[in-house]
Amino acid sequence: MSSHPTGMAVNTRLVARPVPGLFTRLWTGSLSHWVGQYSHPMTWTGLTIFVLLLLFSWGGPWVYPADPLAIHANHILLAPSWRFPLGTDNLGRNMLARMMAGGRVTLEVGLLGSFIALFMGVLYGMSAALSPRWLDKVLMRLLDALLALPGLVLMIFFAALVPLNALSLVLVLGFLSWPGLARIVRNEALAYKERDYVLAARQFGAGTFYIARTHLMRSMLPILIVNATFMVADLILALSGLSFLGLGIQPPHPSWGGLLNDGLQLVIIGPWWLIVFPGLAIFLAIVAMNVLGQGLLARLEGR
Amino acid sequence: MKPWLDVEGLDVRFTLGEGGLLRRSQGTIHALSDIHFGLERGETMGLIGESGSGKSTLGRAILRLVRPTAGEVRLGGVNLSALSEREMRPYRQQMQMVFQDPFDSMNARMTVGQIIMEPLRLQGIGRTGERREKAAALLERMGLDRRAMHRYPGQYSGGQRQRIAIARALSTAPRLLVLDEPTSGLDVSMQARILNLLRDLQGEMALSYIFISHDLGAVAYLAQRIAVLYLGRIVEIAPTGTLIGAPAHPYTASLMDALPLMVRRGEAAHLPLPVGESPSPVHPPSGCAFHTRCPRAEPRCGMERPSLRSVSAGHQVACHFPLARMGNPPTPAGLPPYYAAGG
Repeated sequence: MSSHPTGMAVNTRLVARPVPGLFTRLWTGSLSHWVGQYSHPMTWTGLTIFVLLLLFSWGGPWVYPADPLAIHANHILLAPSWRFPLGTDNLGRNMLARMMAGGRVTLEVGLLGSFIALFMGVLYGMSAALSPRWLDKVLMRLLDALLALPGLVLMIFFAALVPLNALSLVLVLGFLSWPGLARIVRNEALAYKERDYVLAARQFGAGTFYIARTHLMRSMLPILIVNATFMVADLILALSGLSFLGLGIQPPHPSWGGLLNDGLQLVIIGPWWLIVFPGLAIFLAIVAMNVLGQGLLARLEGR
Repeated sequence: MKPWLDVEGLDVRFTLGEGGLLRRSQGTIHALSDIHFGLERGETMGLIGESGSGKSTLGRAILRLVRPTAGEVRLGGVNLSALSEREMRPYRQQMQMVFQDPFDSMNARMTVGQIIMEPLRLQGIGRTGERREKAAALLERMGLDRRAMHRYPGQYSGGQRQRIAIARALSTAPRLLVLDEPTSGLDVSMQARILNLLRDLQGEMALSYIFISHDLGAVAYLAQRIAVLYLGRIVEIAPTGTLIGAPAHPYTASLMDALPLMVRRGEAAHLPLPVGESPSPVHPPSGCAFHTRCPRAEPRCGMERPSLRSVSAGHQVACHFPLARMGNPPTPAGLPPYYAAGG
């Protein structure tokens, strides 16, 4: 009961409320449950930075259309100004446009490569966990062998074999990054496989594929999401490393790692804007994904 | 005439250790040996025993969640043991299970509705709307709000979750329910509610129960007959009243000692509780497996294993020196006094 301006007591429970719409019902139902469960300041911070980087790379050209490859011979090595907000490089190319283009390719390789790695890791890990014990052992020893190979050396090896473009780099990085994930997936699957709800599902007549897809995947989804975010950060760093070694995206096309490498070549003549901006972008992308992953992990572990 | 559910010579062995490509296995556990019993429609069989006695394994072997090494399980004349997993699938509708731990037996990332509808979905029963209606009706029968359908099991207590688990088990209209310690994780008043609910459901749906527990009081409340397991063997099987009123096996008698006096009904035969731990099932004692802890053991018990033999109608015991029948006539099992309050 609360009191009404007229002085009469009003039963607030009888006041009609609007019928909740579909979105409200979704939100107050499972969606808010999920968001509430995984919401953490670190998650929001990481997500915000990452979305800003995505907006910069894909949305930027709409606001600031400029050709990243156009050479302005009269404007070599200009410091940031109104015309060139992030300056120009030693060929007079617009650094802001190059940062946007480089961001697109870097984030693309990071996200798509992680997707491939995630897919491979889940496929391999699940297969191992659900196969007979001897096959699981063979598959896991094989995985040990793969994990024992130094990743960067392998990447350099394969990068030297294939034509270097965004697609081939996505494939090389994706197909070289899954073994660690496969082990996590396999161990998680083995742990969840013994739970009573999996036994119950078998009692209802569930097959192995149903159990893997419904129960095991559902149970390990959070840990997969966390590892996927770390994977994106790893791949951005790996691509930047390769670009830095000249084995990434080939010039004249920019990538953040390549831009950083170009800048470092000129470090003695002091154009700081060629080093600071790509370095900052790589740093932010990696920090964003790691912070996002840490936030999710914190909630998962009940902190 | 064979009983409706007929378990014959069921044997389950587990291989210990990895037993991988290069290593040899470290031995076998004989989890169940030569189990025989029958169960009729609408009847309840209680299985009691210490942990490690194989009572849970027996429940699972009947549902073939554990592969028996030997023996047969026949349901309504069909030999389930001879069926492939695919052929077995339709029979799984008829037999369901309620697990001990309601926090582990349902996927916390599924809604209660999805959980209850899962068996229907897997068995391909009904359309989505029909399934939803059935699940909601079952929830209401269990005394839960149908709005629970959209919630997650994490929002419910142990007792509520166990009722959700029972609703799930009943969704396919089964005839046989294996109840694996369904009350052991709950507080006493909730135990009584679940036991009463199970008893009512049995009357409504003509269910047969296999009730597994180490709580003799709870078993006696539901079961018409009780089998006592010790290290994978049935050592005594008898109608509930006989088993409680006049146990013939020293082990059963010693279990009576653990019961509150009121449940025990007068001065029925009982022995002090067995001392020490149950022996390892990897290396079971020779002869009668109980002879290491039996207060009445004689040399013969360590050498020769007693087989199950009849001592009276429906009462079988595996002991060389069964306890003589004592004065008190067996009373039919009613509601043990300490359950009456909460119901």
